[in-house]
Amino acid sequence: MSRKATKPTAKPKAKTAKKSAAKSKPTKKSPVRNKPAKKPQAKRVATAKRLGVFVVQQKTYGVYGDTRYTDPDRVFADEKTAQQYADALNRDLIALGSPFASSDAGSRITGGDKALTALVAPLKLPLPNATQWGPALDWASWWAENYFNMTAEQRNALCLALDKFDWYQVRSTTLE
Amino acid sequence: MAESGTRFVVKRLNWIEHYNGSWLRQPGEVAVVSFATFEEADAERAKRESEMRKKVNPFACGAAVHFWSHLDEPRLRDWLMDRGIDPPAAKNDGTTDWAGWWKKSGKKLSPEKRESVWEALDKMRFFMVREEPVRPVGYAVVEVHWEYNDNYYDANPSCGQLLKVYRLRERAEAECARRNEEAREQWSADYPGTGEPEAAFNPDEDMPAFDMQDRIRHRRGLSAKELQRGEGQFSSAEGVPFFEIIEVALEGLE
Repeated sequence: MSRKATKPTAKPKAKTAKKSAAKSKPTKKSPVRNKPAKKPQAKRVATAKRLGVFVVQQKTYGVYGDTRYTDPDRVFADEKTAQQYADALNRDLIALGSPFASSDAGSRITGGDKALTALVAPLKLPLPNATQWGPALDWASWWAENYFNMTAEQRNALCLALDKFDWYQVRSTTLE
Repeated sequence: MAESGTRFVVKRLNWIEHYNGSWLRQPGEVAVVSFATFEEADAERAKRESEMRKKVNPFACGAAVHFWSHLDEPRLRDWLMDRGIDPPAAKNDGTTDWAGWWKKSGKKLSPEKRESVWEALDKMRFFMVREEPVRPVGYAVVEVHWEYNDNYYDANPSCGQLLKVYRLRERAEAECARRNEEAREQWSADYPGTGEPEAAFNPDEDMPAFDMQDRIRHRRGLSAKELQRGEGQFSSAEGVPFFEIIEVALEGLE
């Protein structure tokens, strides 16, 4: 669930400007005798400082299956705090039953229904039936029927095994 | 009294309306108002919670008991009977129409009994109070996802493409206005036949070219008042928010 965010794009420092200034410093061998008059400089427009920052968003899908991310609600200075917030939202997601709220939980794990069934087997609970639409198993109904037959830890373990589920994740952006 | 640098914030929990009309809670919360003392904040929370309870059928918020309560169904029945409330009978297939029972019988219960039902449904809460540090606010510029649904363009209710966050509202507004102007020109050029002039648009009779009512509802939450006639509907690209500003809390960025 802890996914590394891509590095934020911080504005590069103006190292090159310093170097060229050092090069033009007059030396003993080449003294600058007739210093030309300074060119009038255009007044600098104040630009806001840009910072690489982090947001927490959940990946979802648009009507044509294209990737979407939920609107952010908080911006973080550091990635660690952002990840803690993402983890808290993911815990809420499990507590609210969302990973199993739709019937296709089997498609949210590597190995599909078979892998999820193997995880459920040690719990000694009845296995889910097939959905009325096809061969996939109806995990939403199974979850509702067995919710109170599992401990919170067992529920968490099952949900966290859904490695293809779209958990809240940390992403990077710019603050100006 | 809140500790120095903190406030008691009344938060609206993130309930959303599902496409089939039922309500589901998602992670997250939205700050509504803040107070210096817990007592003030809690009084406001209680007032708002009470208003919501008048409008909501709690048993329609999620398809199973675990969405509503930490009690399983037998214990929920016991709880109700212990307080003199007759729970609905289970049907032959073992299921119970709790939502139908509340719709039919909920209003006939005394205020105390109704309160007992809500007490048992401890997952059905719409507001909470948190003591939080006072955080500065930033302004995120996001591109709204307009998705064609075979009839008109519909704004994705909960998602947007985050472009940049600004510390100053003025800067965010300027950037947003610039991008909107460009986008409107582009849309008008690419789709010149999109809709009728705004003045001739009658929301009761005409289909909008752009509709963002779901997005507005999602943003305001379930406690918000009804949308006004034609609100969030547009007959042409003119006035359509292709880009929006969202307020975000800045953490560690004081």
